Amino acid sequence: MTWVITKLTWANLFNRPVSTILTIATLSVAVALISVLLQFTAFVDQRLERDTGGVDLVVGAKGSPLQLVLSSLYHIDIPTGNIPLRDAQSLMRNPQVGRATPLALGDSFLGFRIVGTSPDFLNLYDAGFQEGSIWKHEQQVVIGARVKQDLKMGIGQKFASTHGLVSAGADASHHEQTPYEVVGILEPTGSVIDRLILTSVESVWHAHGITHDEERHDEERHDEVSHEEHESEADHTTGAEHKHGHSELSDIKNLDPSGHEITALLVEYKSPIAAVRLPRFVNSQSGLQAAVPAIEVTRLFSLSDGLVSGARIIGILFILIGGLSIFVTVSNASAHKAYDIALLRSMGASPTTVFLQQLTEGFVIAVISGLLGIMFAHLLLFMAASALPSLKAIGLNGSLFTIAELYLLVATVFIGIVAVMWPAIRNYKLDPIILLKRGR
Amino acid sequence: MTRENDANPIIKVSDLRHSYGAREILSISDWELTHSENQLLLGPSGSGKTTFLSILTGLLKPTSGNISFHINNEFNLTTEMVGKHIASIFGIVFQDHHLISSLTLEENLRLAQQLSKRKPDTEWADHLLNILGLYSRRKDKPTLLSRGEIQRAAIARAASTKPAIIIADEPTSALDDANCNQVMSLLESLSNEAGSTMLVASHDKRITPYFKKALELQSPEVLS
Repeated sequence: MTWVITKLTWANLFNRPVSTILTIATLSVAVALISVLLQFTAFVDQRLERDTGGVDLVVGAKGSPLQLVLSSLYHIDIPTGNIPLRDAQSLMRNPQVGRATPLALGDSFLGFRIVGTSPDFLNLYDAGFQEGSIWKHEQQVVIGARVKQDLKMGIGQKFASTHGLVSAGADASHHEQTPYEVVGILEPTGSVIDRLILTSVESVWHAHGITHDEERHDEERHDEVSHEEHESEADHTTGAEHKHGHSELSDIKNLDPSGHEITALLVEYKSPIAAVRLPRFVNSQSGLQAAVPAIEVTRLFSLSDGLVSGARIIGILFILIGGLSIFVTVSNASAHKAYDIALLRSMGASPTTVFLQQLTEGFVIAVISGLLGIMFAHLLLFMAASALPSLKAIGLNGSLFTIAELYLLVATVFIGIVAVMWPAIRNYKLDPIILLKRGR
Repeated sequence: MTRENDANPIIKVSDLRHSYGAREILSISDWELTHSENQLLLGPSGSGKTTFLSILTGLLKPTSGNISFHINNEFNLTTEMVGKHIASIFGIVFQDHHLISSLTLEENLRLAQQLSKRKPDTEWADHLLNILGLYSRRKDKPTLLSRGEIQRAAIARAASTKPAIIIADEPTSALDDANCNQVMSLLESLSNEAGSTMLVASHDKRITPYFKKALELQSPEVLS
């Protein structure tokens, strides 16, 4: 029976190639449309979640909370402004705060944003080094994997940053006097950090002509935290050449805050109760705003929900049209094949064999269409990413396969089988005696 | 499959009647088909030849009567069981010589062999195509063949399973004398070679010399 079903199925499909190809094309396009949507939404979900890096709260200047989250977490918008370092330090010392990572934004290099921060920022994204190490001095930077790949940068390379967060134009002002030097390259993480150039907050201040010569160290804390580190430092020196790891440069918490500002603070709560108290506390302070990434992302999604749902409905309609196309194709073919089927029955094929053969035709068309559609969708995104730098930059390149696509394939096969059910039942009931009666 | 003794009937029919509503169109009180004794079902259009063939092949249930099959030692089939064994008992050449349109000639023969639940015999299929002059066309689909080639291919398919009985329904209608003789000669020789018994339904009296025995069916008017 297997040979009979397989042979007849392939023979029937190849016997009417144009009709088969058109049916497969219709269904494939429908599947591809839905697959692109699935990939897009899965990518955005995954990307937003990964880029959040476990941050519970973003504290920045008053303005749009969504803008604050987008600029500070996803690095795709302009910051709402700056906040005084004094206020940030006060929050960093708040007992409800588990970890607080400062951000100083404002410069970029060839479209990649320079982020002044502390080494803690790397821990938010579990980023490790593929080369080099964290910055130890001002004007040293660590670059993400995508920056390295796109700009072909390496350790020791120096560059002058551009003021502003957009791609450098002809009239953009450059910080020629304060060039940066690459001292570390991060492993790819698949998150936003891949696209960032990281340095100390002091470096960003320095690039903007803000000095912190008056910085003073909290000697007690210094002794507690860094004593062992001092002893193990091979290059331990004194005075201006004092090098004792990255903690000294980025210990924003202990700097004299006079005249200093940062852009935002990424906060992780110490306990769940902080989720209730801390945003309220921050918002009560003048000039400060607390934005909860989870709420803002949900709001962002609600804006695009209608569009995505609309596209999804169109995709489902396409699939139903594809199913209808299978029905029409197989139904027409089976009407023309009534004598073939009667002959099969007279040669000994059981009604079940005839029924299963018809179902197999729908199944094969649906599986081919489903697989082609999904492949086509991935190829389409791959080609789009190759042609559009913006897609390439965010990493939407068709390489993401989701479980939803498997469900899409199953749904397509189901529709394919349902579409041929009626002609299959009709053939199941066909009386082979029509062959003997023919022409009489 | 081993055949019964030549003397034993392979099909035995008694008191067979079939009616469409109140109109009786077939009535056969006693008839049998013996192995190797080719038979002709002769009668005008509407005399019930097709109905009789349909009943014999299990495609139609008679109104009343008994039919027993003694194909070999393993089979002693009732009409209900014939449908299940139709492929191994019968090879049928239909009036319009129908072939499966999406398959090539050799695939049509292979399909018949597969459905007969016997091991595919490629050698026998090739031999049939050879002696029917179709070997060079074996990769062609029916749409590419002439009417004569399709007719020969239909005969080849019927014989490809080496069935106990080869049934041919009006095989010579619309053929001139030369072609009529050619087709009947082919059917006869292939039946002999396949070890099959031939049962031909026809209104064409030109083919009576090919049969030792004939059952002449009456038209319904005569029956009533």
